[in-house]
Amino acid sequence: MHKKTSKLPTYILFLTCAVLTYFFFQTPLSQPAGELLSSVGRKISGFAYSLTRFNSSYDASNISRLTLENIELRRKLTRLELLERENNALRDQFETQYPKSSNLTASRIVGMKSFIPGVSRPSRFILDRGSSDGVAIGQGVVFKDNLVGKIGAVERNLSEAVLVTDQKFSLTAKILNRSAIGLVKGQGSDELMLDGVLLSETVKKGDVVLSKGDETLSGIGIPPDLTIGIVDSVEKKPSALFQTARVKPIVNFLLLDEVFVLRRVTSNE
Amino acid sequence: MNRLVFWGLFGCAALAESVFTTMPLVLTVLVVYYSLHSREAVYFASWAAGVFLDVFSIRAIGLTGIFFFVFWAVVLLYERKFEIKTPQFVFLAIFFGCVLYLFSFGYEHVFAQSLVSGALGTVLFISLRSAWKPSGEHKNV
Repeated sequence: MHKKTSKLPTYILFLTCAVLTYFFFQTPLSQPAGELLSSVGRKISGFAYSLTRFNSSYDASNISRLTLENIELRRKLTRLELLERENNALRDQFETQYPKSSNLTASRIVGMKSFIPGVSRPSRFILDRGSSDGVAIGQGVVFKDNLVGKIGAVERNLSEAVLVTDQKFSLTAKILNRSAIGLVKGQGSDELMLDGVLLSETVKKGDVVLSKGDETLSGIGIPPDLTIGIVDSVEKKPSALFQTARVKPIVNFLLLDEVFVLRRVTSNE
Repeated sequence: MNRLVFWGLFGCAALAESVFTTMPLVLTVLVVYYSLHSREAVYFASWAAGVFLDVFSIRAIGLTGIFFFVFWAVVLLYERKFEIKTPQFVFLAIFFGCVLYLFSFGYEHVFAQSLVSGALGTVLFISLRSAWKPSGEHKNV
């Protein structure tokens, strides 16, 4: 007859291990172990993630090319209109590329978690750059002139980027060539909501939504004039205080392999 | 053979949950294994998986492990009074465990993911139960 043994001692042992593990990794003594785990994690996730991109890169090559062309054309149009404004306002003689390449850290995506991989839209990326590469919480993540998201969590060799479509993401935004200002919030799917726009302002389908700028004293944050998306529809109720608009991101996050972390919004280098 | 299958499933679940999906696959596999065999190896697996998932999810290391052990405490209390080798228990344990897990760690689509995980775990439990012998009759488990 099989004797039923109590699992309680083993449970208490491993519970103690779990609690001790948590407190151990809060102390500076855990730094070497944390670095080792983080670097191993980066290699494993990078390898595992690269296996999923092998087939999808063949199938999506044409879509990717057209999407990139679309992004490039919209980028040129936006830049042209911004340049015209800047020239009219007698801008500084030092023309700069935007954002400056010296402020950017190239970062490979090594994890793209979603409910159903390949079907559901991801809301966060895991990047292969961490605090050892100068990445910090709050830094913007961009792809060309498009805002992808911002850094939400950082380890030694890995970091997590919260995408603009994540429910926890919000940012002040403006409409290109209009005076409308509002708050862009992620909706948890492939969509954003532009909220808090005054009823007196004009917002139309097809308008380009840009970042207003969100920078701390240390230069970390999201610079102004980065493309967030295109207005897809506008909801304007006369009885409401504000109008809202649905915004679609230009960038298809599923097709990204590499993004850039904005180390500093303004460079003193 | 049973151990091999469990660790294989467990490894795949840990890797998938770390890189590809937000569904709590590790919790699903652990509940199914515990329901079938009630072995203490699940505690070691929970601790190890907790560390692994925390590294890949950029969380404080040890947090997921503590969550798992709070979950096992509830399961242990339930096991004292009721039967756990049933599909109903497996589904409800996975469902409510996933709801708490996803809500605690700030994931989206909580209800949908919990429902799918519960269904997946129940199917896995029924499949493995018919393939594996009960632990009382098996020598090498």
